[in-house]
Amino acid sequence: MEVLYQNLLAVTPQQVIMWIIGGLLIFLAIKKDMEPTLLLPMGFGAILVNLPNSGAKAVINHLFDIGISNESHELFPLILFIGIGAMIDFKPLLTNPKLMLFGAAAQFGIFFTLCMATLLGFDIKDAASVAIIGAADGPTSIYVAQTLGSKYTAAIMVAAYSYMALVPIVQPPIIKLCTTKKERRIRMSYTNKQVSKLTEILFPIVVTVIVGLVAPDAVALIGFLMFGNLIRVCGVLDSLSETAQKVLANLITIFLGITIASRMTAEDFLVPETLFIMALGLVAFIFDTFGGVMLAKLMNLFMKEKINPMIGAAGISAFPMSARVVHKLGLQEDNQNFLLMHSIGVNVSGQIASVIVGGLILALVK
Amino acid sequence: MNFLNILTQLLTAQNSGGLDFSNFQINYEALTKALSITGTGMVGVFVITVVIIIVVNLLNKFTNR
Repeated sequence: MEVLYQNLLAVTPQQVIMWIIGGLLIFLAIKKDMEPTLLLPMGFGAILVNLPNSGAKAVINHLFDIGISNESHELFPLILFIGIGAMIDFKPLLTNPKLMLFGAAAQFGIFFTLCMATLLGFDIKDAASVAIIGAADGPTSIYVAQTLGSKYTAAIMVAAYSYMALVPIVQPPIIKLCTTKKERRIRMSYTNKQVSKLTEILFPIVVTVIVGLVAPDAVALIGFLMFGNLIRVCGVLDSLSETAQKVLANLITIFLGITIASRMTAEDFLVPETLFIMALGLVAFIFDTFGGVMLAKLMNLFMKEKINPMIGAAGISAFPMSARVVHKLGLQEDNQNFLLMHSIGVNVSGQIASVIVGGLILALVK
Repeated sequence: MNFLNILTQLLTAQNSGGLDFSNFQINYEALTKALSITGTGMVGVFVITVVIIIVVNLLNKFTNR
């Protein structure tokens, strides 16, 4: 009989708190539809690894070793990038390449948060790992945090994916705070310019080479992303593209979420730093939005044809939520103001820019 | 002792005797490095972006002929 309740007596209050956190993540995933593909596996994994003497710990730790650890060269997030690359249509960006500037500006939050985290007392590697939450891009966050050897990977992941899901709540007040009603009503014309097939094919190759030459640490990230995109646009690998977008991305996502949970043990997760990381993640998202909007306002000082500054906010790479948020805000101000194509262009440029910044941070911090 | 330690005191029971600010100091060396990374990083991302924009414009120009 003793065997039956021995393990029950080993339950600690901290583990119960982790079950509640796991349950909360599952609730948010199912009931609130917040990044369910990742929050649900992470929530369930948090419960799994926090059962006393959990037999699942060994297998989840093994998954971590082969998929996320430095020894595995962060395999899971990189492979997921092939799927993401295959999902992205860069055409709205290729028809109006200057939109990429907003993607770059909307990485400001990462650097602002890096300074704030350093000021708070995080060491520079942990500060950079926390700041990369502002990339609004899960795989990049995991890749950078792991490469820099941060001990806060789980908290960083929870923050990154939670805020990505909360983009429709986080961004609108910041955008409204930074813009006037008149600015939000600026209409932007869209002409459906044609992009040649050759440009579409050369784009992923050229971007990989340019980024690789300047920021070699970003090659793995940008290379896998662009490889996925090349499969999509080449026109002769439709079945591979479909597999990358669906089967491959889904398979890796299942393992990624539950594997991250290996770092959600009570002793690692229930520390004050987790709260600071969540707060700093929010700061990163806020200042990303601010950076993108401010660049658009600055450009408007010099441009004849005005830009709706709200599209700058889509430069964070939370795709496609951020673009949708901007489009909706535009329609709220003027029901004939269609900003979707512009904001999608900025949004995909944010994906590229966040990867570039991830590589630059690795190069500068390591 | 840094802000993180003080905030940790606030969140835990360590502040029963009031907050301990002894030995408080800001790590200016780390902060300077963070600011330097910020400068280099922002310049870096804009330079790479501008190069990509120029190349895409050239691609558009020559492949749409």
